[in-house]
Amino acid sequence: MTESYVIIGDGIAGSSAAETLREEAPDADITVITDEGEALYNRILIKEFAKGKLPEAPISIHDESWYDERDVELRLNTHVKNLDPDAHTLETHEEEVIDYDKLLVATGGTPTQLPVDNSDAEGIHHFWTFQDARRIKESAESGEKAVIVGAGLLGIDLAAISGAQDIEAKYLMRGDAWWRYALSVEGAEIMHNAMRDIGVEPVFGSGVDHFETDDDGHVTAAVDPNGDRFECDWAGVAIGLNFNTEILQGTSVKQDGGVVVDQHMQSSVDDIYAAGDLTRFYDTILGEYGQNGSWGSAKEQGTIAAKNMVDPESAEFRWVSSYSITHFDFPFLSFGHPTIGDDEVEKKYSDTEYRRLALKDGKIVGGVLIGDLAPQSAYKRLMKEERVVGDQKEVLMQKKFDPDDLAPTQEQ
Amino acid sequence: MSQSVAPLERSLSRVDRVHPSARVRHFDQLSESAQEYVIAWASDDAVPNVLPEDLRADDVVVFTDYLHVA
Repeated sequence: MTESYVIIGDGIAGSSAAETLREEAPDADITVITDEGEALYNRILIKEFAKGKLPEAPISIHDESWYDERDVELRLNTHVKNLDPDAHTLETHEEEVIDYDKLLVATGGTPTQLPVDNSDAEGIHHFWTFQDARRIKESAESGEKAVIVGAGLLGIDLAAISGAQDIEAKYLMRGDAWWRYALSVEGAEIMHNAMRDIGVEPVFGSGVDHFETDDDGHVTAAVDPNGDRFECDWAGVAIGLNFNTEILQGTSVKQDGGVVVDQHMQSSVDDIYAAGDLTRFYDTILGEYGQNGSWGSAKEQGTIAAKNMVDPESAEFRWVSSYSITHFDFPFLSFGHPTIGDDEVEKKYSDTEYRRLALKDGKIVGGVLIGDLAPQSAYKRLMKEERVVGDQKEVLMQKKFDPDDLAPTQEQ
Repeated sequence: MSQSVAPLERSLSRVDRVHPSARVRHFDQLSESAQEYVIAWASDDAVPNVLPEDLRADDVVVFTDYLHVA
């Protein structure tokens, strides 16, 4: 009998799974369901579109013919409202019942809204989909002042969009530094200066108490908890994601700040797999559960899930993710899990060059590189090898880091 | 598939505009070897003469600049 695979979500995780499933199971029925109105697009590049630097066409990755050529049924604008794991069926918003043998949930997330007054006002943008990028671009091209909220990797994209569109922006941060969980103040200051260079002013010890609006319900200002008022024509908010797991409610699929999956992307319920941003996966390098929202990680998870859907436990997710910021004159790259660990080492080499490594039990578990990205491959390799290097911090921080300079690993 | 051979000085070049039909990828979407290639090029370090497999002529890579593959 022909196997039937259903994928919910057509982001990079769902799409890579569909591609792998077709390779691994040439005769299977494969259906991809998404509530978005367009097929896979390049989520990493929508910020370049919003900056006004990149035309719309190159953002698209797959058109509908891509699915036709692979005999994959693509259902756009389709919302899954019910899932019955026992019956192996799901139901769409049009009350159509679809059978599956194996299901992949790759539904990603939805940006978290600030829990303050008027956070849903006109002109307050979140930044996740291509449609979000189109709206932000429109606001940025017609406005003069903006407020950005969310001192992390997505918030800085909004800051860069403001800079590229010659918007005078205030970047409101609750703490004393951008991405304070991964960087020291010294490292973050390099990023703060880069923001200032493009006309974005970081405001520390701030945040949003409420937004003010005009009579039409359009945002006019953000007021922070100190009572300081920041006028704006639009605001960008990037404070995190809520995972799209509504369809799993009422099922026994285990969730713990994400859908819990093992290293094979298998959930706690037979024949249901998950991949992408919404997973809390068993990280075989860390030896504990972790999360990651990078493009490469989601793509790999989709591939691994598909292989295991066809041949259970045949492939394992073992991956060191990375995420770069390329908005400024110098590059920034984080890898692994830079916000965890029990030890660290950092060094600033110049006004635009800095490194920090997070260590746990003497092993590299993540890091941040600013300016010179050359050591990234060596650091990632050491992390993947789980090599104990915490006693050789000076070597690790050498400007031209060469792993051959590390003392040989002692046999236990 | 045979690999392209690109002399160092002509392998990548900064561009301001991107043609709508160009294949554009962000640095994060490249293979490790292609990332190393871009990093070396941007640092004026020695770059292998052989273009990494996932880069092809007329690609555009989004790094700190937009880089066109010759």
